[in-house]
Amino acid sequence: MSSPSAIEHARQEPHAGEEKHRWWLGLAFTLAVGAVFVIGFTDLPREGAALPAVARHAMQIALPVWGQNEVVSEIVYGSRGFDTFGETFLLLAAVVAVTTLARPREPRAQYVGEASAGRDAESRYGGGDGGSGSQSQARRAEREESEDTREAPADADQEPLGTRAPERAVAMTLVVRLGARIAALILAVASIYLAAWGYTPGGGFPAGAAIAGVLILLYAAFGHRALSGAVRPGVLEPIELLGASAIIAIGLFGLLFKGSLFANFLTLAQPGTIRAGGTNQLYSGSELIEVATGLIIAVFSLLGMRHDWAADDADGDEGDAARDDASGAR
Amino acid sequence: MSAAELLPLPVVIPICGAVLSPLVVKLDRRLGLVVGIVAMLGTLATLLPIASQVYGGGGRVVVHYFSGERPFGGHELGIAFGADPFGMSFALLTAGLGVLLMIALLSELADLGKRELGGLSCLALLLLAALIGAALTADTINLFVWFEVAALASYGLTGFFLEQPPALEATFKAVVLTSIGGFVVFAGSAMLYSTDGALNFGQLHAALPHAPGRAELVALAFLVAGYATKAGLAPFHGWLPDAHAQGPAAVPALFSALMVDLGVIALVRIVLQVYGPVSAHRALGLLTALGVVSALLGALMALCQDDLKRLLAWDTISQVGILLVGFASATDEGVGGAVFHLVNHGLFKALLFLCAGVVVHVTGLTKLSELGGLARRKPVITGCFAVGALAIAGVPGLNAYASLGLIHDGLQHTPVILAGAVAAQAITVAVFARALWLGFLRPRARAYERLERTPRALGGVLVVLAVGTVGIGTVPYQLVRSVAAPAASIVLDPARYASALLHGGGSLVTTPIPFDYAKPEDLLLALLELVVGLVLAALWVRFGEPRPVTWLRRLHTGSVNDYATFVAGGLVLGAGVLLI
Repeated sequence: MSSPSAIEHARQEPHAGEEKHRWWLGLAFTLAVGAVFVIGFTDLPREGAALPAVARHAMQIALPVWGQNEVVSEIVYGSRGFDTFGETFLLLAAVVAVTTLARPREPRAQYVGEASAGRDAESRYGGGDGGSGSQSQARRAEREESEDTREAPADADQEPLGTRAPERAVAMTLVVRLGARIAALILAVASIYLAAWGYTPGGGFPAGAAIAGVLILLYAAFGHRALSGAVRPGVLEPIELLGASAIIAIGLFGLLFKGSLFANFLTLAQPGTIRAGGTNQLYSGSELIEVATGLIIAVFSLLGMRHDWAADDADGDEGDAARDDASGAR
Repeated sequence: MSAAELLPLPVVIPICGAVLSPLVVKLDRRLGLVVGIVAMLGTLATLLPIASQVYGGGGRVVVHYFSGERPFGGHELGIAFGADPFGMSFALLTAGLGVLLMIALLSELADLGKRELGGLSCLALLLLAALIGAALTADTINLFVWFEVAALASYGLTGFFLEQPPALEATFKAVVLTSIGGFVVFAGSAMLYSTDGALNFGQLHAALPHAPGRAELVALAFLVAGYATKAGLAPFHGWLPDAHAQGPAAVPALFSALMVDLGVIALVRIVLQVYGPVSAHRALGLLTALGVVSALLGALMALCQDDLKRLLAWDTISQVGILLVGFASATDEGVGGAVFHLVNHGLFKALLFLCAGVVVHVTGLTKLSELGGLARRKPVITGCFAVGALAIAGVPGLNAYASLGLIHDGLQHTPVILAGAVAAQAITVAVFARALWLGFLRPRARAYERLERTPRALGGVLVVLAVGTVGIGTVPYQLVRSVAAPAASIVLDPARYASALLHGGGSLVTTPIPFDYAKPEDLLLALLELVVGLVLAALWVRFGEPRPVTWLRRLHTGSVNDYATFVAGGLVLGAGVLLI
């Protein structure tokens, strides 16, 4: 190496000083990109232009070929079912990426070179032992929180009204909690209905998202600890992967019987009944399972993050798992 | 089953592995990655019979229509896979390297926690599946879907080593820039649908006029910008050096050897096979310019790096630039050479990144200035790194010499571009001469604080890749004749590809590529590059970087705002070039 100034670390090519926010520059580029959009959009076909041939074709075949009186569902689970297949695993990739990035430290058997390189980097730019002010503050808050929850009542309904509760969600009033209980039930039934009858555009995908929404509503009303018993990644993950496996199986059966992945291999029932649409309904139902569990896992693994990976002497390398077990046992 | 019926399986099999791996780790922590290895072997085994159809008998396009939706009157509502020699070459490379990289992951990380390993294996398999899907698909929206699957899987892999603070920062940069890329790709694909009513490449090619309208040009600008972000072309490259320096040894290898090529393949499909060289001649000029700039910038920046993985990441940007210059030349030699170089680059870049990963793994050090003396202490790793370095330098006898020579042949009529490519190559030689000297050959008196053993299987993978890199260099004529030539002819004949997609497949007419290994001017050029590169490396080590390069480095502030601005600037510039 020639001179120390040429040695830079992984973050920046040269070590730049403070980040400058040049709003006028950002605005200029944003406007320029907007202008490009406008130039393109003004050349698009106007409202009321003839539909493309493939769109007309989709409407013509929805009922006779796919047994669906909802064209969007026919596209999503029928004609372009393979795109939905890709989207399914896009969601799986997102869920696994989130759980990976939000995971607690697991015990590791062996020295890993990257970890020591990481400790190096950490000592260079803050964090770790001593670290920056904000980090130690966050740790202190974390510690206080875990001490606090120990004295909290088992669930919100045991909480005498009007007390300032340690968990913010527990401080929700009786009205909110009762409302959430009633609404959750109705929403859950409605979401399953969405997928089951398949007259709704999209079927299982939006229905799965709605079910995840129910859980988030309950979380908002009752707090994390009330739900953590019900939302166990160990249970949900296999269910999610089962939904994904069912989707793969539906595709492969189409390949086996019809020579084309995701071709319909079931006889079409009377349109408008629950089994109308042959494999589309199976596909939509499996999608419901996969999407609902996937979103719930992703959301709750983010909500459950209670640790950072900075080299903290307090919990050495036996990982957070040990601490989690201890708190789970309480 | 016929080849056409087998065609979806190379995507479905790794996805099955991805679903299984988080489940089987509950039984044994190693099983997830074992499933990954088996899945990639299965993928390779499924691809081979299809490949024999695609390359055999002068070449064919094998087509599979999903959901039983066949074309009607030149229109296609459903999704089609169209395996041509070009996409097939990348799919085979992905499956083959996928096996080796899964073995490398298992070998290096078998001692990690169960859930970590399950997630890692799942994400790696999803990424590989997405890359194969992108190589085979013939549908704009389906290509976008695979682009996104690859992106999401790559975020989890980039940030995998959470004990390294830079990992999350790199992930954040990748998320921001790739999301911008994904957004403009989708906008471009949707604009094309609303203008021409087509998602299928074949139908779209037939529907596009010879003189594209404003919306079609803006869509092209969007698609180029979006996929160039994935490919890491300058000025869309801000995320790449960070993201490709993170994670376990095999992850950057997977990114640099394979993932950036998703962008390259998509660019070639859209610009050459959907729009065609006539409608997109300006886009070809744009890609050539971006390619030359990337090649030079990447090589110069690689020459400044002290972090070994980061150096390789910058070199990836440079190599992607060279690839695009080859493809954008729209000549048989240039495109054939670029297809050949895509495969070569995959092999030696995987090799180099795995070597760098092993060095980090055994020493815990990442910086060239702190390394040295590895030649005596780790002769096998040094030997493998040297093979990769010599290959990338274009030394006659190794694989890249032939492919670079072909790309240079394709640039004969554009001397300025040729000079840029040759200069970039000379700087690349300097990059690897310097890295090899500082990291491996330089004597080192002090003992290392730690010097672990190389995991055995990982060493085996290195040797296999090194042998492959050398081996491919011994059969250039056969590869040019049976892989590069058919791939070039289908890329440069969009009408034939389009008709094959709409008629359930079709045969190719392959024009042979004139190729002479011992052409004196190619040999002289390679020699010149080597000499200039070695001199440059010696001067660089002795005197440090010249001032203009420092200015170039200052442009890369590491701020994601600045990098997003570069992307926006590149997008506006591209649209300007295409529209005006």
